[in-house]
Amino acid sequence: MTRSWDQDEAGVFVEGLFAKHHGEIYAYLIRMLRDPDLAADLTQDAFVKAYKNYDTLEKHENARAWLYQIAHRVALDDIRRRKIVRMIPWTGEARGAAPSAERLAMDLRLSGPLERALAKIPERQRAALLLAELHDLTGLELAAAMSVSHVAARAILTRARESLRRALAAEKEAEQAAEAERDAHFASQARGDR
Amino acid sequence: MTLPFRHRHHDQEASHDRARALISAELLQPLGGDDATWLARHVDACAECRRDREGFKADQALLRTLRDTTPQPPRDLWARTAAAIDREAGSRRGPAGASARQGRRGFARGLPVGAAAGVLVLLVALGLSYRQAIPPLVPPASGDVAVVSASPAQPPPQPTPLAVAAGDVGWVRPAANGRWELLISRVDEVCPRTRQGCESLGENTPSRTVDLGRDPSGMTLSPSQDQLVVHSVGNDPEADRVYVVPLETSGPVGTDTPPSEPPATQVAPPTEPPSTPAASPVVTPSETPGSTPSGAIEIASGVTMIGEAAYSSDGRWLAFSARPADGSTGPDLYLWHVGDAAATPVTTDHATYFSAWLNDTVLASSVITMAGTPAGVPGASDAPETSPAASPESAAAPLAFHPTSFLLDPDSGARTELTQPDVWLPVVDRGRRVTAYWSGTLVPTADGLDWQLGEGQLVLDRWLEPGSGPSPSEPSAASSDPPTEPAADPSGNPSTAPLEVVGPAGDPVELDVGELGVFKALFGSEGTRLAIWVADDPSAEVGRLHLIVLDPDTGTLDQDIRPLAGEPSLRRFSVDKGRLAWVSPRGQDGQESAVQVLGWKGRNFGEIQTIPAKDLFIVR
Repeated sequence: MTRSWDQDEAGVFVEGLFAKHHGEIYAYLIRMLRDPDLAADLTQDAFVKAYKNYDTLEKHENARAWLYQIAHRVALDDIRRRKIVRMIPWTGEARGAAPSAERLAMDLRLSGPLERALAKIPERQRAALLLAELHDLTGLELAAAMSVSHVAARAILTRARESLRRALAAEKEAEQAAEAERDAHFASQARGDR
Repeated sequence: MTLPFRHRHHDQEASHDRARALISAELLQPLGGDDATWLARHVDACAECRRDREGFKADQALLRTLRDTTPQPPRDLWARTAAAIDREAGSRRGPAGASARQGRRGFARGLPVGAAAGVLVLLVALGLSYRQAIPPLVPPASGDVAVVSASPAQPPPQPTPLAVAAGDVGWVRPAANGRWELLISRVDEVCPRTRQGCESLGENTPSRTVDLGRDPSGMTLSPSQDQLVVHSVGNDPEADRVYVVPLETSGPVGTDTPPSEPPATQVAPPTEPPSTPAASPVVTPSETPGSTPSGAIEIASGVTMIGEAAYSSDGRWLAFSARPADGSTGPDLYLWHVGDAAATPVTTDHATYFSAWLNDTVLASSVITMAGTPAGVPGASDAPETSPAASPESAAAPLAFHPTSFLLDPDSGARTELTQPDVWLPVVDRGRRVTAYWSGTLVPTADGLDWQLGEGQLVLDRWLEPGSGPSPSEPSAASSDPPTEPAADPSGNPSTAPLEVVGPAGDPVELDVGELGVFKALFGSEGTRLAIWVADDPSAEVGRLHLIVLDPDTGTLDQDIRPLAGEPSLRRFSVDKGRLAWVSPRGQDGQESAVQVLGWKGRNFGEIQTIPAKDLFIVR
């Protein structure tokens, strides 16, 4: 059931919501998307949607999970749209067409084994892990945020943990292989020096 | 890469799966008494599960180290957000909304001039990432908010529409007086982002009023567009019916048809799409919209259609599965020969589900018990031999039933079982090269009337038929290697698959579509696009739609592109040459549903949609 939409009430409410939660929503989005600018853009988008859909919030005490639900959908929507690749060119400013030096530096800082492993698991699973482990959503809040049943949310989370384990193991193997290669390279150099 | 594949469900594995699920759940919140007790007992006896528990805990601790670095949002984020909200409020308010704006001055307070200059609408192009654009910030009418755009005098550049040569899209929407409108529209162009640069779909498409009787729950358009099969659900079981509404392709226009609409004789045959705008077929409305429309042929009554009906490619046959509306048995496969008085059930096991047509042959699946007898109604007493009571641990595992699938020639009645077991609802591309199916078991739904997916995977596999199969040297469906020529036998003829193999080759590759309890898959006519709708349970009307791209040469998965990944969608969708069409659910943003179309040309994709409306049905 939805309530009548009152602009003033919605505005005041979303302003308060922003003050309280914008940091964590931004953090969630940057962890999902690994792009600070995009995360900022989508945080804005999420709060605008919250304002527009204020009438769909049935209980104010559920506002945080509701906000995460909006942010989650915004993030998945963006991920999906970015997968629609190779658009027809247009003669405007192609923002983001090439990563800046700052962006590359930021990416490097984010690219630890854990971040790389997280980036490799399916988006919905990644979202479940982030929401449960970093943003402390309860089981019911997680289900609400992901728009699935409680049972399905738990199943997604289980699969996410399994996927993360495999991805971390793969990262570890890759690191060990790289290390072995480096060792072999240095050993070869050392033999050459002699 | 061929992923690990499990053909059979085992109780032991199920108990480990359950243990892993509970270990994961206990990290989220404490378990209830029974679950906690069961898990403690299981873990005590299971070294593998103890390792899983330790592993999950270690990963949790590792994940939580990310809390040490909290990303800081930009300082001007509120200013940007407030401006965007103010713009939204302005668009809702209209000219009479000045007082409301005055009452919400808090949003405008402190907004720095130029703070939002860098967040003008920007769409990304040229084969790189596609970003979600921010709504353009518009300077407010009052002096409350000062926002400067990068180039306020010029609108932001629009993306260039992508010309596509896609097939028609057809849908039905409510009209006045309890009647419905059928629209068939060509899709000539799509845009990188919906509603930017492209007109709404169907804006210039003439509609025709059709009388479909009482509220339909599903409908299917014949290939020649001269019939609409309607399934309606009545107030009592006997009132459920399936009927065929003839659509006039010539003659007088229906009484509700606006006089400006083109004559119905403009309907083109299906093989030659009509020029834009396509004229839509017409039926003459009956005088009593609440009953079966006049001229309609009732081909089945007292049954509930399960899934969707579909015509054979030559349009001579209609197939669907249906069970008694009172739920007394499970579904059987029905065939209706176009022109006959009624549809006929062609199976009697009460456990057969229509899957798809393979050109003019029916593909269907049945649920069987371990003893090989039909499962019937899921909740009935004919439980499989592998009773969960066999061991204490398996008491928690759901009953697992095994499916089998077969081909049925509607003309001769010849039935050919697929060789591989545990194949559920297979679909095959028109070129008979590739198949997608659920490989695994089924479990009854909670109400006992239906089935949902158990243990297994949704997979892509090669399709084999006697005389047409590839050689064993052909790469798997997942391989990106180029296809190899079939090996020749000494006589010079290409070798074929073993004669006994019909159906999937048993070389499956998992399709990653997330969690699923039910699914519906369809290949596009080109054979290089596979659309899959998934949902958590069989009764769900809203699910997630995926579009998977296959390599045109090898039929293998194209891993580089996933044009649609989990888009919220109602159950019915259609995929054809150059486009995928579906109906979006009522939106989070309060919008009504809309017919959405993803169009493509080669590897370029774009979207277009209709104006939002209620109760939309995709029929083509």
